[in-house]
Amino acid sequence: MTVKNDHKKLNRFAQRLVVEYKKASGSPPDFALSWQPLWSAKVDRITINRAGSSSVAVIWFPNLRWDEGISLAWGDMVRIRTDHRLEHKRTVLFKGFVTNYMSGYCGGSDKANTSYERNAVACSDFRWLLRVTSPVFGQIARGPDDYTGYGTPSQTAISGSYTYLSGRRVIFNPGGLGNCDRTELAFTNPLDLSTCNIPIFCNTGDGDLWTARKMLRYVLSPIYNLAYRYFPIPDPNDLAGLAHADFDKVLFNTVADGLNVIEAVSSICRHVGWDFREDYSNDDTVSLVFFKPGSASSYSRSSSSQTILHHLYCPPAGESIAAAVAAGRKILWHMDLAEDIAAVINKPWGFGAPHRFEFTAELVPAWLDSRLEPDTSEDNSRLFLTEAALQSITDPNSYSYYKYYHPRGSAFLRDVGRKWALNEAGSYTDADTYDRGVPFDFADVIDDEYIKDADSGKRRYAPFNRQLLPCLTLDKDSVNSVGIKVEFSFDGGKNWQVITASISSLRSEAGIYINEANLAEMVDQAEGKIEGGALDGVQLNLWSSLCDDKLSNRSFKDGNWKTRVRVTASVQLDSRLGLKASPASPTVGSPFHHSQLYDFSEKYGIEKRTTSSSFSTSSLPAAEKGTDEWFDKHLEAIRDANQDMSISGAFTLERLWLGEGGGSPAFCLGDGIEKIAGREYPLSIQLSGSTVICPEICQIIYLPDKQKMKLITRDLRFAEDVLI
Amino acid sequence: MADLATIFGSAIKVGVQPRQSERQYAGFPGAHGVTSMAMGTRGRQLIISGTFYQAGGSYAAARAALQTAIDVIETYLWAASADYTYGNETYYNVVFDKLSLVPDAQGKFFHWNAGGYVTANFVCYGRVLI
Repeated sequence: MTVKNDHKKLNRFAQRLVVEYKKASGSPPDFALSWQPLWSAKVDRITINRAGSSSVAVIWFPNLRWDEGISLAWGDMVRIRTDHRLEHKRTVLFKGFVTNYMSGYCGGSDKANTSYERNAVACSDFRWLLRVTSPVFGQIARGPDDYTGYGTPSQTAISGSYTYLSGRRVIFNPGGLGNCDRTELAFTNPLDLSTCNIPIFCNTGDGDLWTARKMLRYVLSPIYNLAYRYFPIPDPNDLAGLAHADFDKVLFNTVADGLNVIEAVSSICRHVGWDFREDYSNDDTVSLVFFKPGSASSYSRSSSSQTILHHLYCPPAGESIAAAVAAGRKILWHMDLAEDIAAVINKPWGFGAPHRFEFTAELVPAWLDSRLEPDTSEDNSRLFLTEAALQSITDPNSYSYYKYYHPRGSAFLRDVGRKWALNEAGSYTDADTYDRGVPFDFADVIDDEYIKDADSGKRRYAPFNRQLLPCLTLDKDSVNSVGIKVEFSFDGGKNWQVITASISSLRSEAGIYINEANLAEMVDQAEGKIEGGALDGVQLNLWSSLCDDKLSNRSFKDGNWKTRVRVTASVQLDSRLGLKASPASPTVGSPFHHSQLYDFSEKYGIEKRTTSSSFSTSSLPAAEKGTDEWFDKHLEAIRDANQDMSISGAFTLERLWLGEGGGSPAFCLGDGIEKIAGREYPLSIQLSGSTVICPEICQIIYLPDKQKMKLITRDLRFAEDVLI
Repeated sequence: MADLATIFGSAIKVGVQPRQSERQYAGFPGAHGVTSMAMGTRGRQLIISGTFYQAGGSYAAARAALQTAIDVIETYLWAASADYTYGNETYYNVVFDKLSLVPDAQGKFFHWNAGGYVTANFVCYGRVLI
């Protein structure tokens, strides 16, 4: 029985699929040049899968008992095709390799035909072979010996020469920096002498940024394709769909190391919202075809339109099916369609990162005044010791300065003179203890626009502890934050100076800790002396200045201390950018307002350098963020994509649509089901603008025994980020 | 190629039924008509009918001998397909599905004849696979 062109006739003939094989011999195997038919095999089912999931064909041998030997062995190559007598009119539905023996046996019951023996094999496609044979690790790059004149102005890459660096991970654009060599590798494949250009790695920051296309060309290159003998991709740049501008997108920090080729391709495609499938042509080639979900807009397939739209036909009640059959309609025999509003999101809420502001503010001493007891004995000679003086003292713990206020002292009081805090939570306000005045008010340094409620005027933060973060101000190269700037004053805040010292930011509150071993070594830059009081004439340094304040009974709360510390840093507050998209009007999908939180901390937020910052008048730039119009559009796009019901379904057609001698199957992965004709039931959803999406075929199951085929669809909103 | 007369004896008649089509019909709710899917045929039915003869000194002995002969014929029911001849005809790729003894009007299967032999009518159903 041969394939009949009977798709327009009521009386159809079962279409037979021919199983052919090539024997594998050796390891890794060689295959015979010609296909051998396997007439005793029947195709149970062929499941065509998308992206990284291999397609699988199950074939069985009805004339064999489960333990009897079959013609197929592990690794044999199998092809399943239509049986058209003309080769160019045949459709190849599957090609792959024997990977699984499936034996079954049942004694049955008293009822007829309940016992069986089953001798079957499952075959996996070429993506499976790539997955199991071709790991991605180590970088292809140029070493010193891959250049002529290395290290000289005339340094030139040697054509075709490269070095495999197994110790370097395959991470594209790490940290947002380009590491793609500007000169691609001209590679000649020793297996078939085919040539292609392969983008390769170079030192991070010295190269171009990798685009998604370059990444795919890299991982699919013959260097990583260890199954090239069986699945040759001479030049990945020629793969269908890869020329689309979407693949020009630059992806940062993309890790392919440790994946296999197919996993890496899937990962990269997912980031640009694309998908891929494995196609077969009747000239025996296998290829990967890239397609964009939801992009089908025409009804005939071409090289520029890899996915198409279909109308399935469900005869209206009372109508004869004759006309539909005569017109060659793809008639639905069985359908499970789920249209669901449960997952509708028509009022998405989006949040940016918590507000962050750079400011300059004075800190309060975070120790009890009673803990600081200056030793003024022996004419102030025991007030402090320099590190040099300590070297000559045999018992430094006999000095109170060393014993209590030096980190190596036996009774070290670790906070005194060293811990300075913003007092943002009022921890140092209590008059009976620290008595450092009222809690810090962020409204003093941040514009009302950001810190106060527009209606009530209430401050939008609470007295909670927070941490000082690096400044938004960048260094002169506009690359890194200048960090946290700490300044000291010994004259009550009239003059500020930066003293080189080891200082860290406190983790549990906004403040700093001076790690410097000897506070007396933090000397006034003007090399001044204390004037007046008990310490008159003593060298002015951080310790002596603090002692002077203590001995002079000055009140910090009243602003009398001459010793001051201020910090320029950023802090994260308690509010964040928030938007809610309104449901479309008139309402579609659900009558309720379905909300879902979207955290866009990575994308949106308010980060400002306030005028209080000591850097605000400098020429240094700041990495600021403001309200972003894209935030609004982003939320609206999410609403548009999710406000209607989801549609997903399983459609079984009453015959196999194998291309009717056209050489390729009628349905491919990525195709859309636009509507159920006959009953005139639309399945497409109009999004914002002219965008229309349909349920997309994500799996095709051929059932030759039943002469039927099943299309499994998914709702595109659950596909990749194709809509935004 | 075995001769059917060698297996079943010479008192047989052999006939072949025409093939029968096998179809699936797909209907559509609410609509008139079905599509038919020709799933092929299941071969031709081969019918062999006749009478077994077995001589013996007594009814019991002859009947026991005939039963032994029937047991031998029975083994063809699970034999692989083979080609058989009868008269001028050759039947290709034949398998046997069923062998039945046919009782008379009184329900009696084995009959004692005055000539000193036992007879039994039978019918055997086979299938020409092609």
